[in-house]
Amino acid sequence: MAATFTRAARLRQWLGRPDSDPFLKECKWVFDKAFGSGQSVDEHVSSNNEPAHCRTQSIPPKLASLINDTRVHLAARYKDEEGIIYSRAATHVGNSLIMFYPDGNFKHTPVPGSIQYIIETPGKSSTVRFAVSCQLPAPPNSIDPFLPYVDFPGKIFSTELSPTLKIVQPDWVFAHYARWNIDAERAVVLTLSQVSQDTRSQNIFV
Amino acid sequence: MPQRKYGTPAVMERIREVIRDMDTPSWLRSVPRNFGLAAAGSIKADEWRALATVYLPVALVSIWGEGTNHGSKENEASLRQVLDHTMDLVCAISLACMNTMTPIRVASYRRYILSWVSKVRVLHPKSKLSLNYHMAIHICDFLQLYGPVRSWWCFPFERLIGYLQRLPHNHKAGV
Repeated sequence: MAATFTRAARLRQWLGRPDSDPFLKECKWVFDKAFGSGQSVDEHVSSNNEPAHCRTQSIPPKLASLINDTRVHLAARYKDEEGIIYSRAATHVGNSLIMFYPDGNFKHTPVPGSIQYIIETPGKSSTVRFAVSCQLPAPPNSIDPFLPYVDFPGKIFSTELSPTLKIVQPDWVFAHYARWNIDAERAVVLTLSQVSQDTRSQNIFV
Repeated sequence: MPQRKYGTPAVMERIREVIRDMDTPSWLRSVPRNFGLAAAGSIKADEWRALATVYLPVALVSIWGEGTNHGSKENEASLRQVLDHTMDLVCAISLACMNTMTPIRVASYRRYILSWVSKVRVLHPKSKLSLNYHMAIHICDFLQLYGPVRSWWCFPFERLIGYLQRLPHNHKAGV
């Protein structure tokens, strides 16, 4: 027991180093939240310039041109009513990858993009919006080896993301997707929906 | 003539590379990064599902699919045949695991699984057909009768078996 206690104390000490990198500081915040510490989590957040779960921040220039209201929170993650977690790319790349209907048009084929910012507007009618960078189309003349497999939801896109942001509402999101770079130019985008949009026009058993 | 081996070290390494480097949401079941090595242990049913529908197809298509080079035309054609055959099974599993079921999906599942079962002995002559192959064809009847597999699959029982196996016991039947 003494050995465990000592190791835990050394771990806390290591996590609490003032010169530790931002990732470790984020870990310490989570660690303190889970196991408690003398310093309150809120104190830690307010005294720390690194990203925390949710707090007011200065609006980045490319986001400011998209939103009119500057009294917003930029959150690290958002959990919807069904319990699905969305994160910004800086927090968790996998949770930031979403297939969404452009402009909320449900007749359109969902397009892939990565959430760069989660914008929370405080107040009585609080709203959440995502600022998303879309996955650019595959380079011209590139081969899509997934094309012959029509019932496999994989498709080739570029490894690059669009430099401009699009505003996406949470209910425009169709599903998460998985991404893997085949080479320097091509990325596989694999939609992880277990519903699939073609059911809208079909007779569903259950 | 000895049967060709497809699970070469290069293929296994590609599968591990995909498992390691793919960006996935946190809800997707993770699989052992050392898949294929003895240290990975036995793969659980849910892990096989994630492997079969996400990691394996991406790895195999990237290494054997259109645009890849394998020395000779014959070699490429042979690997493409095996890939197409594997993708029949992948598509069948992906369709069967959908949370909504439609007549078109049931028909597609039947087409894929029949195509896969019929070619197993052609492409892998030394493989033995087991009851599971026959059972896989009957799944379309159950999809039609009971809807999506999520409603009637055995994962809850698998979890219960796992729970019972982990219970401390003294190897004697209790009363």
